Amino acid sequence: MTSSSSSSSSARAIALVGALALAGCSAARPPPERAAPPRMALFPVQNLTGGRAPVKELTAALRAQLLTYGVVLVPDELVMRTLAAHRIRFTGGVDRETAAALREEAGAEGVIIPSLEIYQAVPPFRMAMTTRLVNIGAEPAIQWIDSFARSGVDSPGLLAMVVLQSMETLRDESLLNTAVRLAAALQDPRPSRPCPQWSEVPPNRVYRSPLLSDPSRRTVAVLPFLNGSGRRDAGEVMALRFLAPLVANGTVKVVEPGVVRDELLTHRIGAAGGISLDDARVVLELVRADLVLSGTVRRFEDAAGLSGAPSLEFGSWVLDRRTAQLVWSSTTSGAGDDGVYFFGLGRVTTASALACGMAKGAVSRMLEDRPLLTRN
Amino acid sequence: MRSLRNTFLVPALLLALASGCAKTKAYQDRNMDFGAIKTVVVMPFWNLSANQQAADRVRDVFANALLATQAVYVVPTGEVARAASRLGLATPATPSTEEVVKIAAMLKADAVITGVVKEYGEVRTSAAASNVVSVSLQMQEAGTGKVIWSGSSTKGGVTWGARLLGTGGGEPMNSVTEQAVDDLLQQLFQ
Repeated sequence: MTSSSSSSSSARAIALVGALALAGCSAARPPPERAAPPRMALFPVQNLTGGRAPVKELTAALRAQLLTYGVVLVPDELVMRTLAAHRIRFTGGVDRETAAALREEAGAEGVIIPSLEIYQAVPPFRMAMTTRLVNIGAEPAIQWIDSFARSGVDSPGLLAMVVLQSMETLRDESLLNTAVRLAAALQDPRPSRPCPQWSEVPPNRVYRSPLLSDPSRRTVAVLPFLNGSGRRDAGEVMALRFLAPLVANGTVKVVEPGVVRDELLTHRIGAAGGISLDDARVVLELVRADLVLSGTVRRFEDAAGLSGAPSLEFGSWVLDRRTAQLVWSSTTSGAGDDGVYFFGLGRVTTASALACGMAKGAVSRMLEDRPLLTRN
Repeated sequence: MRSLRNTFLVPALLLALASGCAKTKAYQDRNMDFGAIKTVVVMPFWNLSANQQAADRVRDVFANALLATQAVYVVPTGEVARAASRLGLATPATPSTEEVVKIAAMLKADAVITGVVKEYGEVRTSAAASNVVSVSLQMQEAGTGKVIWSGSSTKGGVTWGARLLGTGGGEPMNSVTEQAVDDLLQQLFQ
């Protein structure tokens, strides 16, 4: 009894001394200074659905979710006033002029650009969106990009009990996920995976030059794909879907599409029938890129009804500035129900999700043996 | 009489059998060194099908498949369009011999491929439907514009099984196109 009480009292004393020592240490150490969170400008949702979509409501819903998760946003009025003062209408990208205006007049450090690809408000509900965060330093640069493509029947569950019953549920869940991921990326920048590994679709035919393995060719400009499908804006959607795996791959630096678009418009490049090598070289010089990626979308069809499957067909190519030659060419085609045999397992329900898997497959093959970029 | 019958009947039967077995007819200039061809221009194809995009689709698949063989380099389509525009080709799908020589010189190519898409789309019988593609191509030498290779291929269509069972659909259009292109490449490289 005595021994136990003495041992317990000595243990208490040691613990007290230890606690005091720790408290003293912590008191001596200055409190960690937390950098002020960066101020972001949220652009209105860009409508690439090929039809009508409630972009104002979606922008407001996304803004609310981002604010909930602690993302500091520049007031909407200030962003709109700045854009109006500079007569900037295009909000699907950031060029140098827009970046400077937002930086100096609105005090923004980055721009959040949401692009809506699919919005189907009737059952089975579908929604797809790509959101990217562009750092507007001296040169606009993609800091983070993420996308989702969902439908109400993605996970129907047993006896279809988990089929989503309203568009609002799908919309709110999706925007919530985007806000959570973006807030996490601001705390700890790391590339996010554009779509699940199982959904990756390899290209049907590929030509790949060994020049693509050269680590000194590190900057890629992505041009909008030529649209040979009946679906409006399919070329832009396909280019966006290529952006995410390129950024996530980490072996190349991707030029912000807003900068590329500005140069194309300024120099009136992009005639129908494909970009010539001369044009490509001009673009590459202007945006200081080594490679230019583009292609042609031949088919971009979303699933019809509950049981239908989306189908896609496109070709992509990459031109090299130094040799002025094609270094990559591929064709990819497929449908959302390819390889699906049992109970719809593995079925892809939206064209955007299919495009994501196909783009990811092409990019994986394209950059398969490149070393990771070193930060400098 | 019997020997006369044998003399005419047997070769006639053999000829009929052989022509029935032959699916494609290809021409290849035996004097041409195909190994010397390093760069090829694929001109826009002539479209005889009802589908307006058929020629572009088949050309896209063919150009990519040709590149994928790693045997030759195919000039990008945008570059071909620019050269055709500069030369003022009225019908780039059906260039004359002089135009072939000029465009090959401008693009520093060794050969020029032109083609015709004769069928592209769905064919139907009373009970079945399927996709079909029919393409003819020819390769002309850059220096003289002489035709050095010509081939054609038809793939897809309603099979006997589908006819009997009345099934529809068949293979997707792109798969059928790839089969036809593979067949043409096999004829080219044989």
